[in-house]
Amino acid sequence: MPEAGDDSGRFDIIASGRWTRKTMWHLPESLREIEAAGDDCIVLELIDCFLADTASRFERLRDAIARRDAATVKAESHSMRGSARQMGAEALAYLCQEVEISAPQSNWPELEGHVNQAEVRFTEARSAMSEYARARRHAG
Amino acid sequence: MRILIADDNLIFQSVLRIMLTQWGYDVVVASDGDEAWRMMKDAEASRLAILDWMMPGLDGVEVCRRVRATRPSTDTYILILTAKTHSQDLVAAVEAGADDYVTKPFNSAELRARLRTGCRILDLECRLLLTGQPLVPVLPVDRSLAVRNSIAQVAI
Repeated sequence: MPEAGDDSGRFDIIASGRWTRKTMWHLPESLREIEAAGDDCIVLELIDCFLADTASRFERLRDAIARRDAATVKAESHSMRGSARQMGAEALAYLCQEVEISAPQSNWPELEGHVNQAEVRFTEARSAMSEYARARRHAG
Repeated sequence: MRILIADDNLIFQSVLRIMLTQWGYDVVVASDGDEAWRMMKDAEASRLAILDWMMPGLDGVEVCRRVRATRPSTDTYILILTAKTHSQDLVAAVEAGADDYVTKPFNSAELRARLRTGCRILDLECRLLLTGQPLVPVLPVDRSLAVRNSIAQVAI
């Protein structure tokens, strides 16, 4: 559960199960720089792009698990981990990493468990990002 | 300066394209390794390239290896962008001919500084070519040292 006042985004904190608001999502430095340099809309477009891309990757991940296709599971989770970390969704990135690491063992029940947890973190990140986007649009 | 971004991940493509454009680069994008290799084979190819390591088709390190095998080593500055963080990965990328290596998620200030270094080295190499002075062969992987040594000889 989130702990008020703890703003650590590090994976060791995530691994301990101490989910924080920042680990669910925070606006990372690279996006803050884009925002500071130009139009707010660009960051909002990137957030929309990330949410749509990740949602479609979850579909491909589920499909690959159903087909017992470990290579695709590894490739999709690797890509999701990278974009989640770049976009500041640390908890989601951590769970994608768990999927990526577990994929070669083809332990399908464990993989499905990790993907279920990752989807929960994605829902939380999406909620936090949508809240931010609403606030920015309202301010603009 | 024109720069090639090769990454199959839409998020990295978009963030890089926006940031590099803000920094004044002219950006072209490839969505996989095969497309990147096609673009880099072209005589008018970008001299500065950011290649993701893990891409569909050819991976970034293989693209790098092919570029080095077919074009003068001073022609293109290649930066590998990857989530791989082990030192043996860095060594493998550099041995394949990469000039630099940045890990994902990238820090924008670090990436900007490394690209400036790439531009500076390409500029120095271009100026050396105009003097007709060949690059002094030193350690094959230490490109910046080779450039500095050649410049020192020109100065003498």
